[in-house]
Amino acid sequence: MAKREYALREVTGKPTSDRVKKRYDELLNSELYIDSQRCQLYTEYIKEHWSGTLYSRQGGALKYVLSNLSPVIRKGELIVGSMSPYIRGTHLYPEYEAGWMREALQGIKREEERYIGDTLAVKEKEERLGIYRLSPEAKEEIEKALEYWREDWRSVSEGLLKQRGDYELVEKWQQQLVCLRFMWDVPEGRVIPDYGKVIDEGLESVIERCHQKIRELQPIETKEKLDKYDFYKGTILALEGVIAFAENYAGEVERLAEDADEKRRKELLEIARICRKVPRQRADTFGEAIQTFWFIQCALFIEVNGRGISPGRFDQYMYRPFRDDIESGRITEEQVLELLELLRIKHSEIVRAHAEFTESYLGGSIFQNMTLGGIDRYGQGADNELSKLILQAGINVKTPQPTLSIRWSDKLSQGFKLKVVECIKAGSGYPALFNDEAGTQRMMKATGASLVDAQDWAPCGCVDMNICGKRIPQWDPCIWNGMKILELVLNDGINPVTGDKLAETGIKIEQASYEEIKEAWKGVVKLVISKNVEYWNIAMVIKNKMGLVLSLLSALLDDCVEKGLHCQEGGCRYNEGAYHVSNGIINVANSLAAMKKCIFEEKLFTVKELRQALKHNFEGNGYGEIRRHLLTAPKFGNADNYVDQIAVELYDAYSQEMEECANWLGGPWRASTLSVTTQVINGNACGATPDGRKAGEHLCDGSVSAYPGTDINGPTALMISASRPHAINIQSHLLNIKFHPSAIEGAVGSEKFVALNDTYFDLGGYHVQYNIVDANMLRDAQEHPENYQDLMIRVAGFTARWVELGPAIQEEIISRTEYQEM
Amino acid sequence: MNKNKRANTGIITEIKRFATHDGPGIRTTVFLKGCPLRCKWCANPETHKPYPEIYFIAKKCQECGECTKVCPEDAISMNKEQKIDRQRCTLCMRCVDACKYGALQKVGTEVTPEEVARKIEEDYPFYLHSGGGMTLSGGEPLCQPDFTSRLFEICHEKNISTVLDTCGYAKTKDVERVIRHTDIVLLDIKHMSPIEHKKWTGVSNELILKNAELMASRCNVRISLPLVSGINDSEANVRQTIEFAISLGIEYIDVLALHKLGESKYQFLGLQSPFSSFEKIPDEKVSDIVKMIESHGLKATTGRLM
Repeated sequence: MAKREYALREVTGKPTSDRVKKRYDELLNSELYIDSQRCQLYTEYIKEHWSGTLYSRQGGALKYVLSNLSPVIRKGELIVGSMSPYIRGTHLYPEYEAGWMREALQGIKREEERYIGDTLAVKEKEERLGIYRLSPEAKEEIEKALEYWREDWRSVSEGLLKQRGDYELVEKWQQQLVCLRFMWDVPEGRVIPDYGKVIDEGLESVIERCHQKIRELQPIETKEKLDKYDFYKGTILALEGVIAFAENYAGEVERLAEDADEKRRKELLEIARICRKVPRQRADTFGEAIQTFWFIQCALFIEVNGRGISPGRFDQYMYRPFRDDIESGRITEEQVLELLELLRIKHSEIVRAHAEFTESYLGGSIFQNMTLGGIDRYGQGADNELSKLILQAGINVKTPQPTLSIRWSDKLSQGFKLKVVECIKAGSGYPALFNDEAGTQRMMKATGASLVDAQDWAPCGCVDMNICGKRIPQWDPCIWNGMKILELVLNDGINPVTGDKLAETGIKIEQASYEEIKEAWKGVVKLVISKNVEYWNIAMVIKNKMGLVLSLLSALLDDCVEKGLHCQEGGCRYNEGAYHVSNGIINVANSLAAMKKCIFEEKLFTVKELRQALKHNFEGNGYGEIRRHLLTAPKFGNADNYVDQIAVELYDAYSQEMEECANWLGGPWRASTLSVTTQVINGNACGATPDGRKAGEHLCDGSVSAYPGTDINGPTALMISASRPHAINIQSHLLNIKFHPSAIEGAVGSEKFVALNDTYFDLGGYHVQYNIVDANMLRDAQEHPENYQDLMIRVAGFTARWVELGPAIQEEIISRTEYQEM
Repeated sequence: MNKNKRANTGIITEIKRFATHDGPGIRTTVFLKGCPLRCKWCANPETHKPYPEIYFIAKKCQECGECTKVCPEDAISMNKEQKIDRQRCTLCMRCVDACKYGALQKVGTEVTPEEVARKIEEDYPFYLHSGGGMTLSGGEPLCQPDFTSRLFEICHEKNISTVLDTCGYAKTKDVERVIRHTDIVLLDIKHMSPIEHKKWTGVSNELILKNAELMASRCNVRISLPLVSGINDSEANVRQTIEFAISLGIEYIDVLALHKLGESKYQFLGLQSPFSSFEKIPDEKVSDIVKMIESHGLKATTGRLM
C-alpha cells in the first residue's frame, strides 16, 4: 500500500537513558499472560483455613500470597516489584466468578457475547484463556483451583437473586444489552489509597496502631467487638504480608548482587537497602519513596480484584522527598526523570484478566490515574517542579499506564499549563483535564465532605473521582444503554431484535405526545436502574459476608483503622460509593430533539412512519427522506439550546432517580456516565434510531461528546454544549475532542489552547481530553501496524496502544470529528 | 434564484469558530462571498462570485437521479464527471433541495449582520480569555461594505475586537467606512510590481497600495505575504514589500506559504484546479524570507500565528 501523507507530531520525546529504552522495548514486545500463582496460593490458603474468621482469613491469605510470590527483578531495574515473571502477567480471582474461567477454557460463548463483534484485537491461536496466553502448567493449576470454586460470589449471590421473581427479566436485559452484565468478574477498584501515609510513616506505625486498638477492645465480649478484633487481626496480617513481599525482594536483590558487575552491584545493594527499609519505615529519600509507592501499588493490585486503583495526587505526596533530595544534592532532576520513566513502565506491566465480554469494552486498560496540579490545602496552585518532570516522563515514555490527569485551575502557573499542552501535543492522549473547582464542589455536595477534605480529590479510574485516602471504593454494577431503552419505548416495550417484551412503557407509542414519550423513557430508565441497584445491594452484602474483604486497602483509607471497620462496610470517612453508569444519553437527546422537531412541530411525518423507517433501517420507500430530516434536526454539540436543554433534562432526571435509591450502607446511589468503549457494543445491539443513526452503528462516546460528524460548529460550540449538563450532579462526565495538529500549532497555538481550556472550565465544564492527531496517520497505522508499536491513543477515559485495539474501536476513533485549521 | 440579495444583508460561505490563524487569540472568522481578484492560486474558489452557487460532491452521490428530474433547465446529467452544465444552470437550487445525500449543496448563505453577530457573540468568553475576537475574511469583505461596516460596528458595540482580512482592492470611501470599526487589518500584498500583480490576480496593485497608506494611517495594519514559488518569492519582490512596509510604519509581515487545501473545492464547483502548476515552496526558503524581514528591523511570523 502507498504511504499516506500526514502531519507529524509537534512534540516528540525519547527515553532518557539506554536502560529505560531497553525496558520500554521489552514492554512493547511483551504479550499478555495468565499467571496462576495467586489463584493457586490463595485457594491453597483458603482450603486450609476455611474455618477461620473472615477478616483474619482474608488478611492471612493475602500475607500468604505476598510472602510466596516469586520475586522477579528485571534487567536494569531501579524500582523493583512485579506481579509476575511474565512482563505483563495477570492473576486470577476465582472466588469472585470462576464461571467465566471455566467457560473460557472450554470455549463456551454467552448469549450477550454475540454483540462483541470485532471489538477485540485478533490474537493468534494458541493455548489461551480469553485473550491471554496460558502455559499448559498454568492451565492445569487453574483447573485444579477451579474445582474448589464450585461456589463463588456470583453463584452464591445469584442463588439469592433468583429467588426473586423478576431476576429472569434482569438477565434478559443483560443478554440483550439494555444494560451490560453485572461485573462479577473484576468488580473492585476506583479508589485512591493513602500512599502518602505509608511514605511519611511506614507500615509498622499502622501495625502498631492496630495493636493498640486491639488492646483498647479488651475484654472482647460482644459480636461488634469480635468483628473489630478480627478486622485488626486481618489488617495486621495483610500489612505484614506487604513487608514480607519487600523483604523477599531485598533477599533476591542481594543474591543477584553477588554475581553482578561493579556498577550494577552498587545499584543492587542500594535497592536492597531500600527494600529492607520500606515500606516498613518512613521513606526519607526520593528513591525510597518511589519504591514504597510501588510496593504498595503491587500489593494492592494483588489484593484487590479490580481496576482503577489510582495513584491520585502523586506530585503532592512525593514532593517532600523530591525536594529534600534535590536541595541536598542527593539526586539530580535527570535521575528523577529516569525513575519516573521506569515507573511508567512498571505501571504498564500491571494487567487484569476479565471475562471476554468485559474485556470487549475495556480496551485493555486498568485505569491507574495519576493526578497533577490542582490547589493545595492553603488554596494555592499546587503544581511544582516534580509535576513538570512527571509530564516530561509521559512525553519520553509513551505507555498506556498510568494515565495522567490535571486538576485545571486559574491558580496553576502558566508555565505548568504550557507544559501540560506540550504533553498533550506529544499525542498520547494524556493528560486529561478536570475542573478543579467543580471537583471540589461536587465532592462537598455528594459526600458532605469538609472543604479541606473535598479539596483533596482526584480522578480515579477513567473519569470517576474520589477523595484521596478517605472515601469508599466506587462500585458500579454495570453500564446501561440509554438508546436501547428508547428503542424499547418506540416499540411499546418490545425489543425489535428478539421480539421479547422487556418493559412496560405505560404508553401506546403511536398515540403518544412528545412529552409522554420522553417521560416513558425516564420511566423505563427508573425501572432498569432501580432493579439493577436493588440486586447489586444484595450482591454487595453477600460479598462482605463471604469474607471477600480488603484488609490492606482498608488500612490505607481513613478512618477504617480508627473505626475498626472494613472499607466496604462503613469504615471510610465518606461512604456513598455506589454509582450506576449510563451510555448513549446524547443519542437519546438527539433522537428526542429530532422527533420533537420533525414529528410534533413541523409534522413532516408521523410516529408510525418513523417506526416503519427505523424498522427498514431507512432503506427504500422514501425512508431516506425521513432520515434526511432527522439528520438535519438540531444535534448536541453545537451550542444549540433546542437539543442541549433536552440533554440537560435527561441527565438531571437520571441523577435524581439514582439518588432516590439507597445503597447497601443506607446512603444514596449516584449517577455516573462514561462510555469506556461500550458505545460500540451498545450500538451493535440497537437498530436504526431517530437521530438518523443506522442499525448497528456505534453510539456516542463519552458522556458529553458529540456524535461523530454532527458537531459542525467547531470546538468552542461543542464546549459550550458540553458545559451545560450539570457536572455537579454526576459522578463523572467525559468529553472527547480530536484536533488536527495544525489547529494548535506552535507556541502561539499552545497559548490559544490554554485559553480554550481556561474558558471551558470557566463555563463549568468538568472534563475534557484530546487526541492531537492527523486521521491520515491513524489510517496509516491501520495499514502498517508494524511502524506504530508505540502509538498511543485516547479512547475513552484512558489511553491505549493503538495496535491492541480491535478494528471496530479503531474505526470509531477515526470517525470522530477532527477539528482542523484551514 | 435571484442573484440580487436583500438590502443590508451579506452573503457568506462559512462561520469558522476557534480560528487560530486569523488574528490574535481565539477568533471566529466569517468568510464572505465575492472577490474582485482572481488569484491563480486561490484556496477559496467558492468565494469568488457574490451569490450562492452549487457544490457537487461526487463521492456522496448515490446516482438516484432525483436531481435530473427536478432541474427545469435540463442542466444536470447522470455523469458524475460532468454533473452540472454550469452555463445552463440558473442556480434555482431545486436540485439541492431534491438531493437526499448531501451530494449537491448550496454554497453561500444570505445573512444579516445582526444574525452573524449573535453567532459570533456565543464565543465571547473564549475571546475574553484569549484576547481574541472576530475576523472577516473571504472572498473580499470590502466587496460588501454595508454589511462589513455594520457588522464591525455591532461587534464594537458588543466589545468584540474586529480584524479585517483583505486584499485591499476596494473603493477608497468604502475602506474609510469600514476601518472606522476595525482594530487590525491583515492586508495581502501579493506583488509589488503592478504588471506582475495584474498578471497573477487580474488587477493592478495601485489601488491596493494607495488604500494601504490610508489604512496604515488609521489603524494597526499587518502585511500578509502569500508566498507562491516562482511568482512573488524573489528577493527583489520581498525586499520591495519590506521597504513598502517600512515606509508606512508597518511593524509585521506575516508570511503565508501556499497551501493546496482548496483543491477539492475546485472539483466541487466543476472547475479546473490550478495547483498542479505551482510547486510547494521549500521550508528553508520560507525561513530565509523570515530572516530577511527580521534583518530589516521588522517582525515576521509564518502561518499568521499571532
